[in-house]
Amino acid sequence: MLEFVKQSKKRKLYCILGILYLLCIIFVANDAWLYSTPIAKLTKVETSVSGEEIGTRGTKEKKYKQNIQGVILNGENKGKTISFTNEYTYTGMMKQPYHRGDKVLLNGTSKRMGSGIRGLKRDTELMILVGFLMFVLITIAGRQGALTIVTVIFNVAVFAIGFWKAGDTSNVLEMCSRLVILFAVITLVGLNGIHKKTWAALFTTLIVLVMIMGIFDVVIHHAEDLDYSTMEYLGSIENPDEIFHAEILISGLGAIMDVAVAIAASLSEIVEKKSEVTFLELFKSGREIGYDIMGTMINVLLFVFGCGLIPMCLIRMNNDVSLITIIKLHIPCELCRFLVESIGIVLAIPISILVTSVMIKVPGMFHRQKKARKVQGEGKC
Amino acid sequence: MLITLGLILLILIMVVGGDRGVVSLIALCGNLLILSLAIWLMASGVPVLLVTVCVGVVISCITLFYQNGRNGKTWSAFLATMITMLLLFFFIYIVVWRSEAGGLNEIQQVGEDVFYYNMNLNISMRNVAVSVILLSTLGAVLDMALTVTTSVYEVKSHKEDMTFKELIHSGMQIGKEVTGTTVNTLLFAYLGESLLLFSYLRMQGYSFELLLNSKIMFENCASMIFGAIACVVVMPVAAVAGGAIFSGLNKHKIQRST
Repeated sequence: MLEFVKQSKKRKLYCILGILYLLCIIFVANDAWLYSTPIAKLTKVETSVSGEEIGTRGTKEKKYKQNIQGVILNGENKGKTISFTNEYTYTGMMKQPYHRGDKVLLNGTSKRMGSGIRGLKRDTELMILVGFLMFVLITIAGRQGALTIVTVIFNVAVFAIGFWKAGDTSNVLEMCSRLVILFAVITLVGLNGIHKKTWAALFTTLIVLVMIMGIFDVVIHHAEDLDYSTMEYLGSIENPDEIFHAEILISGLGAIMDVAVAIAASLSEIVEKKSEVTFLELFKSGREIGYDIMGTMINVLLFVFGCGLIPMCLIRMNNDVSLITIIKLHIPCELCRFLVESIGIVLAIPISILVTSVMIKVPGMFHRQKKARKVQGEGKC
Repeated sequence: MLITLGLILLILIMVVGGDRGVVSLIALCGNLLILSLAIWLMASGVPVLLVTVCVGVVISCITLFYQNGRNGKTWSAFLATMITMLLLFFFIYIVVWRSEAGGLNEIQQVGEDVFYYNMNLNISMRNVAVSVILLSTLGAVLDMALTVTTSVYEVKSHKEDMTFKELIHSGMQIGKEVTGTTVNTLLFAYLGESLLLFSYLRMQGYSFELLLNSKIMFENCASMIFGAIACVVVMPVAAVAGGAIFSGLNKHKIQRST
């Protein structure tokens, strides 16, 4: 085993990464001392059926009751046992079962341990997932994978700092438009390096973003107003339209960049291989690439958007609200966002072809003319 | 409003995409219909995981075989997608079970829905959560698988004498190049969606500890991370599947011709 590892540098690196990953998981699994909220580890869980309730569709729903005992892991009450009860139904809509060995956050403070469970401690699972993604990215995708990790970390950091600094949501749109430019620069430069095609992709992305926001605004002005009150989670936010604009701006950004990079990269490769290629030829091959990405990119967004709605639809449809009513009354905002983003993806194709071919070809032509003149001049001599 | 936007999209797809734009539009509508059918089936009490598996297969068939034709490329992409999703299914199920990420999250629990609707659906919300994560990654995985197998096919058709190993290598190369943007696409799609949540939680004065362990955070992160993991894992699987099918195809052809 050791010999096998020592054979190449790559294997050594992977081994070190793997060990680091394990250490991180062990650390996060035992980080209760870092928390100021009291944390308990469940040592005994007894589950019993406590009765039946009437469910939807005329079914009977089983109810369960759990008697739970746990040991406090941190704070002043460390080591004390605590017991609580938990009730849940088969559906598990409001409350979920707990298992032996789970760690839970309690609703008390570090001095008083509290009387009930506030929620599961999910940071270990989160760490396992994040670590696994990083591991897979580095081992399978190599250098590109590492670059991806760096750009994602930068983007998330920018997002978090932007939000934390803004304090309130009063000028969220202004902040997000700045953030979007930063996101685009970080992602494109980080993944492709400083290159002509990077700038082409960046310009395309910004132009398309401005265009879809314009289209959205024009349509909103000329049609009846969008009812923002149907937006999920919208309890007490006072500027829903700004937040909605910001949402469209950010969630479409990734897909638009993807299209722009794909076209810019392949067009610049064509120019590199065949420098005498004409605008028309470039346009044709750009369209060819565009056909292929368009459908799949919209598909990706469709699944992200559609699947998030499943739980909400299930609740409503089981309470005699028809699917058509849901589409009409409950999800117009989500639908609208999806449509605007799809428009962005489609628009990105011709625009990126145009921008890329202009940016790559025009300086090239200039250069060649200069060269030609030079040659002519030498000929005269 | 929605109709106007829909019409704009329709016209743009037809103008920019031409005939193939229309094909992808039909495939898109097909997927949308299948997704609604899936929701309807789940809502009427058919086992959630069974519906998920069937719908996953049907959607893959529509996206690959209808949109891109029946050939070695799409068959190997189909195979790779199925293998990856099967592997991922167990991983997702274990993680969702460990973190009990089903049901309503903290914000939804205090929403109005709880008062209006009967919440005893007799449908396991844990399975619904698994289904949501699995299906929402499907689009990106199909995209990635097809990209890799297509490039393996292109390389093979240009250079007949490529070996199995070389084919895999070239497939991985293309895959690596698109990984970055695909992962970022997913990241931004979910960041945009959770923008509202962040602003809401900011107002509620959630502490960092509670936010990190909340179900809302977990739901959003899990979907995004699983999507990214699936996209990366499908790459070598698709390269191997494509390499095996195309190098096998070639031998077959040679045998026939001799």
